[in-house]
Amino acid sequence: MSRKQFSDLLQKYNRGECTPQEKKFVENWFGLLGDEPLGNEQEPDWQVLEEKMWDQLHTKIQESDRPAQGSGPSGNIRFLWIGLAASVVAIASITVLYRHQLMSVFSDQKTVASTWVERENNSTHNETINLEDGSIVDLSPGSSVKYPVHFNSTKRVVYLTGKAFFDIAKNPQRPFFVYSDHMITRVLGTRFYVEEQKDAETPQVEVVSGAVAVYENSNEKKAAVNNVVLKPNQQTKFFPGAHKFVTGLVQTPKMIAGSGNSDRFKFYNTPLSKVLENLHTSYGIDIILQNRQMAACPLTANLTGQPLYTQLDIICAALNASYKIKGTSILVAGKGCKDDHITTKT
Amino acid sequence: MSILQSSNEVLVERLRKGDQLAFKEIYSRFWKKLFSIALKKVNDRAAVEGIVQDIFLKLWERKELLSIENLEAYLVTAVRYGCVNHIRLSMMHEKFELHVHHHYPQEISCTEEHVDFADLMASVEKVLCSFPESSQQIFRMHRIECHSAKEISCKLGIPQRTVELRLSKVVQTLRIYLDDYL
Repeated sequence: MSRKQFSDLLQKYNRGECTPQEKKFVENWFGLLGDEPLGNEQEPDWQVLEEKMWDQLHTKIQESDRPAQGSGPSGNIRFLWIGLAASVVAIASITVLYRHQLMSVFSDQKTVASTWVERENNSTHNETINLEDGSIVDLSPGSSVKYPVHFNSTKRVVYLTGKAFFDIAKNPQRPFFVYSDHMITRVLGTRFYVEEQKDAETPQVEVVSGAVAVYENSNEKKAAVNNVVLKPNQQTKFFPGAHKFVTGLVQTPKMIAGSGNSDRFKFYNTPLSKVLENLHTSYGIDIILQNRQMAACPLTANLTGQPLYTQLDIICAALNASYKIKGTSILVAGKGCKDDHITTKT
Repeated sequence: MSILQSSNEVLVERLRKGDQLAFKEIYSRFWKKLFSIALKKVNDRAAVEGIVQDIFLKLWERKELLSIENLEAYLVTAVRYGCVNHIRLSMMHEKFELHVHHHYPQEISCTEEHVDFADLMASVEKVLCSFPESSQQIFRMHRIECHSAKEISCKLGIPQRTVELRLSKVVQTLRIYLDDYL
């Protein structure tokens, strides 16, 4: 019996189309499988595994049980927008106050609230600064940051010139703001880069994990509505001349926290739609398949250890498809696949 | 009654009514067994996670339609179907790995011996029937219904050592016939 015949037999078994004799045969064969001791494979950590799988299962069930909502992710953004809009007014007025006093704040280190500290990085490597709330600032060479010894009770504020990476302790009661010359970046608890060099053309914010909202730092009314919300692996650049934010993806998207599983990127005849869903969950980036006929195209490949764009290159090469980045989404398109299953060796 | 003490039948009844705690208890009771069975048959951790997840997911999704007499048997059967499905798909993968290696532009022609399928099935059946009834039963209970040697020993009233010996005789003989497919 050829492999194909055997595979057909197994399919009949799965569909309940076997004769009694065929059924017995498959079951006997199944009974004989797996006699070899699993020498190379370690005993799994059962406790950890059970919890992890229950969490995933639990989430899947909640998702499938939830009644269909109008528009998933954008609905959330809209909600977030409304929430933030309410505080934008407050920011605008505070901005007025601070902007006028900005120079004095930076020069004589005195404000109403508390003692401010200015740290300037004159070395050639990054400097780490620990803030009162446990947040960490990784200051790039040539940059400076100004922060209070004790944060205000309603919000946490720092001022930045140059570039820094922020790892902010989560505290929804005290939102964290990074002020730079043209931008205000508002966070809840997250990790992200802010870059606004003096006299630089385009200040930018890049999110590694969590979410931030970025506003134009200006006392003009239109600044209040000029903002973007960034999710992981997204970045935005601000063009002061045009008062515009341009939002896209970071150059090297990283997997978002909690995605550690060494077999995650191993695919066996996995339909393309599931492969893309997997990438979406791993990186938090919207990946949209433009041609429905490609959804079922099976992919067999091991994409472990490759950066996202390389993974997409491999997938597209295997399935004769292409992808392009549009804003904060990735669009995948292709003509479809023939009946053969296609594999790649990586 | 504490859920921890509920029988499987009671759990199924509660599950049918949408009881999430019953579902969690069923998961806790059987998850490891299903995972272990699948891991022996399909040596791929990620695939096994998927297979087991699918079973519980479907169990929840179809809870109102469930008509289960024996919960354990139902789940063991489900994991068997899941494994068979996975193996079938990965068989096709191997076939095409060969394809890629040899760069055949068209579908590869099989170089394996074309043993007549009907003959093979008949041979396997014959050799199995040549064993005493109890040995056949032991094989079925251990390898297909996935009971432990201890459980079988209790159910059939045969010493455990005897169960193990009879089992290995059947397995050794059958392996000769089905070696190509294992």
